[in-house]
Amino acid sequence: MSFHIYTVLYNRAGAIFCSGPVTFFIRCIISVILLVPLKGIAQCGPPPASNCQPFPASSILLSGNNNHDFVFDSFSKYINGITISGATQLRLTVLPNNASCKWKLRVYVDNNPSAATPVNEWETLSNYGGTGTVPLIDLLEVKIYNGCNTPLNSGVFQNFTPVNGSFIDIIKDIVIIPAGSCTSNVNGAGSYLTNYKEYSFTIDYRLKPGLVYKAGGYQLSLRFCLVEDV
Amino acid sequence: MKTIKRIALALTMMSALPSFAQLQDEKNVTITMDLQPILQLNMTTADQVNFVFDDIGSYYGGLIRYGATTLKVSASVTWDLYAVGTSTNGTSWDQQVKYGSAANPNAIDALPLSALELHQRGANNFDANATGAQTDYSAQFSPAQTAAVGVNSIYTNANPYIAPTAADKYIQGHKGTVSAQDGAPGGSYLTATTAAGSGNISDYMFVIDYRILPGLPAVFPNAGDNAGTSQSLTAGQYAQPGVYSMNVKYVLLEDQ
Repeated sequence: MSFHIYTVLYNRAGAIFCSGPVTFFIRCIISVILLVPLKGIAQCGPPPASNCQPFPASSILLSGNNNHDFVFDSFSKYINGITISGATQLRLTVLPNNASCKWKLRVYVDNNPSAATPVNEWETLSNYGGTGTVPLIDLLEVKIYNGCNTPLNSGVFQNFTPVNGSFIDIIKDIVIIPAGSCTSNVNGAGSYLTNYKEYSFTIDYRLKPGLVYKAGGYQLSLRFCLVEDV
Repeated sequence: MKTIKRIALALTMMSALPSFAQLQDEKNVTITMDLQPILQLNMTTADQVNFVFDDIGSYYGGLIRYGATTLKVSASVTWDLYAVGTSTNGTSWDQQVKYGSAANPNAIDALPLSALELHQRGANNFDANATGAQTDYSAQFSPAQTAAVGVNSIYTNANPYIAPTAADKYIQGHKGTVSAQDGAPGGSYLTATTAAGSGNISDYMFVIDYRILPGLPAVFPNAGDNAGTSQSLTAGQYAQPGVYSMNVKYVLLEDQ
């Protein structure tokens, strides 16, 4: 949502800037040049295409809790880890504007860098004292699957690259795999209402910290992004 | 100038193109991880370990209770483990019953707590900065007729929760927080292994033997502190016959 607002501001600023007196032309060109690259690195940014219908016609429906707490209060939990199965369910609806409608689904990890969190670590909420290291982002494991195993690496626990903003592609392909194919990377227009096994996704989370980390409270955020793919 | 104006206008129009409605939606999930510190000490032992001295041989040779206590550690943080002998005054056994009139002034009822000797199977491997004569209780019990003052004597304190100093004995770990030197890392007897054929048990499990050696006369010749200073009864004195008790605590704590 924040990026979308930015895009509007960016376009309007460009129009206002560049429609002024001649003396502003140089500034206008510089501003456009500076603004264009920013657009490319923002998370969940919309691509320059409108082959699919926008929100709310196309959307993600998230079921399950928005907060998942992993409490390690026994030795066996530390060693064996904790898995929360089916913690998040995503249901997608993507309606087309034309036959070229194609989408991708990603999940980004965010460790709240505004809290001065090192780029590769979990955000520390509190410390209980003691020694050890702060857990890295790649401690979190996610398993994403559905009835047709359409996700990349479906049913396999995966880790994020330990860098804030890294992502895992759930659905992404260069060609359109139409709904009803029941194969990997179905990315055409469709809906969980008509093709449930392809447009719904279940996510399991697992943490297996072992005994090396500093006792404390830690947090990460995950952003599931549905955007049109070109 | 017109050309520049057209270019700028074209760029502006191009930049405006993506503002058309496009597919984009986002949902967020927050993952919170609460790592609570775990210090778990499993102890297998009789509720009471009795030493009954009822013949000359037991006074001369002492009594040993082999493997009377087994300690198993699981910890999520770096840890120390120590044993402490304590009583009402923290220095001598509590006399529960005395036999006879005990009129003789040399019959002493203040028997030193350090008369209790410990032997641990599994040496302290995290004692690099210890300064005492003995860093742990891994020394074998000496023969009864060979003096070994304080070598295996238990650390004593009236307040059992005051951890031993760097000059005292620990079972595992030691005073200080130098990484890999003063504390055992998090782990568990459930998963820790040792080299095959080494004969060692893991750093997370200890078998404790107890010995009391009264000697004759019953002065407890090995009683002493970790510097080797004797705390035995003095020449001419002897232990007043009776029933005595003391408390042994095993304390597992985060390395400090």
